[in-house]
Amino acid sequence: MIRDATILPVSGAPLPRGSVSFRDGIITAVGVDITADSDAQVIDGTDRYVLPGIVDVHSHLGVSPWPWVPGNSDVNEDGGDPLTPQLRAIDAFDSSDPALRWVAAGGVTTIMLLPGSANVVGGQGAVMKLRLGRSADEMLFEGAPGVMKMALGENPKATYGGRGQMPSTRMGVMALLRDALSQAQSYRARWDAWNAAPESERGAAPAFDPKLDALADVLRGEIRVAAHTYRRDEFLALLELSDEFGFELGSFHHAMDAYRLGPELARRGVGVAVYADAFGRKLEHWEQVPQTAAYLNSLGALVTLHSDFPFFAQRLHTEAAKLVRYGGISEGDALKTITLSAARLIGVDRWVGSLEAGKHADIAVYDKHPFDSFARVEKTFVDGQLVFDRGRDRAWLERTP
Amino acid sequence: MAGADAVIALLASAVVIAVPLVPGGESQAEAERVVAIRDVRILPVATPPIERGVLLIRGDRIAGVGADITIPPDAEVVDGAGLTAAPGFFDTYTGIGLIEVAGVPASNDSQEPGGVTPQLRAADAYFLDSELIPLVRNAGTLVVLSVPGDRNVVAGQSALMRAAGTTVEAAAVKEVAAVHANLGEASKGAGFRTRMGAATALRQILQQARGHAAREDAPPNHRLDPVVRVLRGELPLVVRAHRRDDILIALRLSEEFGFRMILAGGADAPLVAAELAAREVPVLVQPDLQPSTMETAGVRYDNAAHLSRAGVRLAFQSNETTLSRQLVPNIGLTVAYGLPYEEALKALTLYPAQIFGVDDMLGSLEVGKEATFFLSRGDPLQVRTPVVSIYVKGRHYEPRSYQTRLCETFIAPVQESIPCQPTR
Repeated sequence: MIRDATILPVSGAPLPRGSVSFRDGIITAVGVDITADSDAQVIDGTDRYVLPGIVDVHSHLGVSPWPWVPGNSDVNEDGGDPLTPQLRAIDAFDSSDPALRWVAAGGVTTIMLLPGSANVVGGQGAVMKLRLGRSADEMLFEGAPGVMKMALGENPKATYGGRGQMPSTRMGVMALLRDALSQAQSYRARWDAWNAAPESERGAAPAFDPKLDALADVLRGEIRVAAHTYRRDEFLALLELSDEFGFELGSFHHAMDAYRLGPELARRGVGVAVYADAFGRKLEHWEQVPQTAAYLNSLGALVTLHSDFPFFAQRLHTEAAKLVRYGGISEGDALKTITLSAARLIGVDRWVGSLEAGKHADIAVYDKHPFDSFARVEKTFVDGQLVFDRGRDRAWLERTP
Repeated sequence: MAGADAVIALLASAVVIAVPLVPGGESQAEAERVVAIRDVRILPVATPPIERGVLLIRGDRIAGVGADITIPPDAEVVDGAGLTAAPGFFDTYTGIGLIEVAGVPASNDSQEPGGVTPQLRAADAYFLDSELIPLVRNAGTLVVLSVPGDRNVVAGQSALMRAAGTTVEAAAVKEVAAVHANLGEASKGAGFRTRMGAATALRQILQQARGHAAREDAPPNHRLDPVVRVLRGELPLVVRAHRRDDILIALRLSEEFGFRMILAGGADAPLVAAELAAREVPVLVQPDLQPSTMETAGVRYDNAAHLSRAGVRLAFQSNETTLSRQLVPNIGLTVAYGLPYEEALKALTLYPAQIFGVDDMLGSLEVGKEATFFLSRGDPLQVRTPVVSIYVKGRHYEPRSYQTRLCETFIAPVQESIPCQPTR
């Protein structure tokens, strides 16, 4: 039990002097008047702030582990085929990437791991818990829905256009996507018919195709799409495509133009992941507006902040604080963009994203309010296990002489 | 059609804002204008904070700072209640003015090939109408060092620029502030492939310049003359280096050739803090520097605290262009990791002014100094604090940018509760 702390449960109002208790990795109580079990280990939370572990919906940790040299980069399989739905990020996930620890030291407890954005269809991501020291399989978030990474715009254009290959244009990107999805549609129909037929009437099974098989799962709604896309025209084209083929468009990532399509995005319920105020290296990322997240939140859209880079992941609390500055959003709603809304966007809000009895004991303890510029994380718990402790991990924090 | 209308509205608003200005000049009326900001919390930096005082401006200068200043009858009075006044912050390493959209070559004038290019001057390519200038200004950064790209061993000459001004001469604090050298990973590909090659190239140009300076009949030489100025102590040499050995090579060269050195970056600087302090080499610290390359593997958030404790003079840099407005939010990291708040504030203001020799004009709020400061609603080092009003050389600027206009075009008509511009 952590007691006498300021509790920011996200699902409810802050408790100025409250406690959180957890047992066997599950939160058992959150409140002001709860008593510790006789066998409980009690942590004094005086002057501390306790919040749900931060959820980062866009991460490449482990697939390009530190140090970031070419030999370690396994994020983009851009050897020649811009359509690689059969790839799985978890196959290249190095669970001993030191950057996982740096991010846990920023209060992050869950990440959505994604392949890179060089390919139009980059492959399958995975939702991971930062159970440091465990294997990739043991870090997988049980029950989390699957995710397929797609990427539109300048990145696939630059990757393949430079080689005189399709896609060199946004037309090419959409043509490749449409072609792949219609092939997957036929493939799915063949398999669904074969599976539905009585065993006695079944002929030989249709040919197995790993690419189309993965896309067929997208069309079946078993895997949701996370699309790297900046521009309004791409959002609209993807929405049309999802209507045409009937797949679930889970989220737009880096969605700079979201402020140009606010009501539509809120109506469609597509998740929107943006940077707070980062922008500008590419033309498609130039017309950024730092009020975007606050605006979308005010319309009831599902909006989150994402990191893409370990150093943003480590400071998502600072990114959320920027929403207060630029967008006039309440502190509670700003905190929600990196916790509960993020958990919803990746489909794990039943288990994490807020401090509530029954949810996983994924908890970050700060020495000041998380939006205070001088705040630091003191402890991070995943499933009730202490994965980062500023006191305990002193040796790791010290510079090697 | 709504989209098309919105674009037209956007263009129209841009036209309205483009008020014609006399290049570089100011009218007689402006030169004599007196502004009194009253009931404001003042962070003069060189002296203790004033909880409730008056900041008096006459023309482009500060005419009074204090708790009991008499406001002249002709003064335009600004209510500063709830606001904090701080001197304009310095960002001592940026690509501002040289890079607009980095990925669009047509708008990127940062990097020449050549390996050793001391003749390049940032001031020659400085884009006065960069959309990024208002963005840093709105973050309280009112002076930036605009530095040529870091992939040459000698990159060229940086310009110290105010974040406002309609000519380079008017915006410049110093058109040539320093000569820049780069050691380590960034410059390894500049015509050679190793640190040996880079060190040789740097030593060679220093030797050439020394030979050139010794000749009594030396003709003008655009390439060597800036290096000669470094050898004569007229300009500092800013050396960007991270690894301990790179820093030590730079220190050896500065001793051998007798130039004034400033270290930029310095991931490993705490390992040589005593030497840096003893030789009075200031360090331009990037507060959010990450171990993203092999040479920065040793960086830590408490670098600034270590250096400060060792007696090294610090200034802060973003090492950025589009993200330069994140400098101030990132300063919190240095304070969270042990740098005293007052030192962090000085490393944004007075120290960089001293390091670049402009503390007679800038770096603190003192009578006679330039009226280049901003007003924020709260502690200027807190990320939640908006900057609500800016003054550069006495001229007032609203916290607006192209992003404000986009917000007003696309967001305000749908949701008027969203503040496109911070209110006082």
